[in-house]
Amino acid sequence: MIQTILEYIQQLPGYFLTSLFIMGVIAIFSTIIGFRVQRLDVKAKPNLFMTFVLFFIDMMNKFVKGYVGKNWKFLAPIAITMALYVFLSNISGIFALDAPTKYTAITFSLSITAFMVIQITGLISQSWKHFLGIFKPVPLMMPLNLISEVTPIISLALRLFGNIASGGLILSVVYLGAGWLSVIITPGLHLLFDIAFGLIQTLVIVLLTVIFSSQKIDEADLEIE
Amino acid sequence: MLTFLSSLLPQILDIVPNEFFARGLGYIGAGIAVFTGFGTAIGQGIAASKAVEAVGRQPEAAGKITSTMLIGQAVAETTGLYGLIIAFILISK
Repeated sequence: MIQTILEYIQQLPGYFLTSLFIMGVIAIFSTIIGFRVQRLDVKAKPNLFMTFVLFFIDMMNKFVKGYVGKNWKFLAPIAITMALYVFLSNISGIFALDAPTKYTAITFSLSITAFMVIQITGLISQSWKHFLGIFKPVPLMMPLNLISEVTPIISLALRLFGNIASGGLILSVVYLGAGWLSVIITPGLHLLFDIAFGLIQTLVIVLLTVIFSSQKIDEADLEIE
Repeated sequence: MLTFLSSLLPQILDIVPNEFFARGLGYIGAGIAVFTGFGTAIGQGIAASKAVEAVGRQPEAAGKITSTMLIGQAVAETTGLYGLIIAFILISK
């Protein structure tokens, strides 16, 4: 019984196991931090790590609240989780793991999730009138509005895949060609391609999801709070 | 028309249209597909030059201008990446 399970796990592709490992790390980490934050004293000063975590979560909450307004409690955890997952997957090339976002299976799953988040935000904010949003400026523009609802799926996925996969390709060519010199050259290239571009792509995907959701909400939601 | 041409080609140009010919033309196509980076690079350079002008005019707003410019360039790079993906597909056929 254990033998068949182990054989099945060994036959899965490497990037899938890396993705599950990153999800497990984020889940355990955030549960432990949640327990610690509940037991914090209101008057005592927290230590350095807690300050950093509280600052990050507060910044993301204010950012989402500025765009979406009343329904920020729905959208903020999704934005934080997506940011952490995409950033950790992009830099896992440095830790000798196979980066999951180099494969189109993972990036298309992320962009389909973003599409569902955008549509559900519109449904929560406007209940059934969200489906009339396609006819909004002039009813003649319905085909164009339909196309511009579907294209973010392809463009979000291919943007993330193209940036990370091309960085990995250039680094593997440098490793093959330079031999022993690659100890000197490649740390700078890793810094640029993995960390810097990974951070910029994380920012872009979270920002685009929040901005697309903010276009689907009712106008009256923005003034409340 | 295509069968007429493919029966006429070995006598004109000394080419045998088999699988190696197709893969060779695929590699040439992959090289042409990466030309979409040309327009992308010019557009991103113009955006960067306007950002530098704006910082020169008002140096206090440098942080906001830099982050706005980076986000705009990451979105504009998408169409340049489409050519790279077509090149990936053509090489691995």
